[in-house]
Amino acid sequence: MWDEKKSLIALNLNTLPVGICIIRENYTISLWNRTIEQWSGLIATDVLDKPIEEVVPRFADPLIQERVRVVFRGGGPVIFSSRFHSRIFPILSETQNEGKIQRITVSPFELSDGEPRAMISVEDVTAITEQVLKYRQIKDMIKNELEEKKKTERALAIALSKLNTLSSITRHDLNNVLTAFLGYLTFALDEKPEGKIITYLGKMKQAAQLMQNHIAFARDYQEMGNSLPSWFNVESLVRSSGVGPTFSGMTLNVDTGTLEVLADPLIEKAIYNLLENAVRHGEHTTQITIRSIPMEQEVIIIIEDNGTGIPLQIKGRIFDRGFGSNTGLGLFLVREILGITGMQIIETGTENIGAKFEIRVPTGHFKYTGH
Amino acid sequence: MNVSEEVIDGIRELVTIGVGRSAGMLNRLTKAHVTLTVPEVQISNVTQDIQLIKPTANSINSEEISHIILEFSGELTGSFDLIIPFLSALNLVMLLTGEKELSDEMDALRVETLLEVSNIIISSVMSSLSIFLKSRLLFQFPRYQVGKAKSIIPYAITGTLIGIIAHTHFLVQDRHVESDIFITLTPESFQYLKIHIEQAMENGL
Repeated sequence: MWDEKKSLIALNLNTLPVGICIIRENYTISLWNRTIEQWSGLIATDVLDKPIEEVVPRFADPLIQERVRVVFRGGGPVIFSSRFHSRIFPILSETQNEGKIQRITVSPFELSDGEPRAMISVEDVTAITEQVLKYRQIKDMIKNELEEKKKTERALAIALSKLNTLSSITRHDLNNVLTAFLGYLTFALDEKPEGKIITYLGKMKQAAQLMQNHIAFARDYQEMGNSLPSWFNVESLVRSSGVGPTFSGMTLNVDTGTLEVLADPLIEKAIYNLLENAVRHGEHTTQITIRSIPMEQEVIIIIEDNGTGIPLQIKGRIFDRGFGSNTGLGLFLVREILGITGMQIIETGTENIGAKFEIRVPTGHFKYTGH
Repeated sequence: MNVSEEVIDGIRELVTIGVGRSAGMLNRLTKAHVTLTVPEVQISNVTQDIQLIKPTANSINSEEISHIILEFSGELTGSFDLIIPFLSALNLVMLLTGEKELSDEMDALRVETLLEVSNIIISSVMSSLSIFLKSRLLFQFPRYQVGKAKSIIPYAITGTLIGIIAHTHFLVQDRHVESDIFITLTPESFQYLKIHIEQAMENGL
């Protein structure tokens, strides 16, 4: 009857995916299951009744013995983690995948014969250990990269701040000198010079004014991207830009609903420039229309006028740097400002009918309030 | 709750023996210098006096805690709970394993390590109780959980009435880690333990 019970237990323990070894209080082996046979290459019949330290030499370690003793003394289960004991039970071959890293638990195990036993269960934690270590490695790598990125960002921010300060001081000083220069040129011209001198002085004044425009351009360009983009209601932008004497007698038709775009704060200047260009270069412009067309992946904002339009021969150059910079920002800066948040601008109007600008706003950079 | 000083001394002695033995094992296992002391033991009727426990049990006041539980039954029925503030538990594991890089994550390997360290303490104390009582107990397998102190502590005391609260103090490589041991027992179990301690005192053991 008792042998039958033992056989049944052995049969059940053989089906478990963990290695099981049962020892008696005198540390001799009374059960060695099939899983531990496979991992260790040691057959049950060869190890049964042998002292555990003969079969598993690590059990000769006094610390391990002392801890197993706790189980027999009624201290409850004992855990040997893989961190402190990477492998206690031997494995058949170093090349095998199973059982390389082990987690061992020793629990009291009692049968009806009353003899105290301890069940040693060996779990294979190779895969999970390797995964956790790999995960830690990846985490450390990301952490290091983030730290490096932060350092670079800090260095760039300092460099940018220095450049901005330098640029601002230089511009300010240069402007002061230029103002004095222009003042003296004006005095010189007031002296009514004759001959080539008057021509040269006039050209010098033109050159100095051009320099002032360049300085203004540099100031606007420097401001770009310095502030975080934010949401702007398109109709409000147009309405606030299209005011003042420049637009007197001009009809502004705005049909963009509640459309808002994510843009650099300089977008106000960009919109003003587009409207001002329509008036300045349109010659007989009386009407500017702003509307939006929702597409599948984007929204197109159209700004068109009924002026003279842009001549075909200059269409390809209107967005070039310096082109038209005599008057305000120039379309180069308009394109740069819009480009900060992924917007694109093209001109699709017809000469003698009117200028037409299309601004393409990508998904995620526009929204309709109330939706 | 009225428990005589002799009984409290007896329990403190049993817990201290277990904890002392576990410190020796931890020293040898981790090769780190570990000192473990039990400066304070309190016995309380936990279902009524939970507020009384708080000043002693620092861990209860922590926001997040690591909690290792061992339940047992037999002549003593109850549970053994080792509670460490989460960050202290993480620090303890890293100190004992010699990890240099600081981390805020208790991953599977660290949990396993903490389980072994806690297990050394728990089984040492439980074996000192078992040897003293000369009784064999049935044990569940120890388990680990992490969470808010407020949600875990009531669980630890459910169905039990008498709590032995021992404040423990680790000193690992000059770093201090505080934790609390809760041994919660049924009234019958506590009575059984009390009688054995009183008998031992009478016999001069």
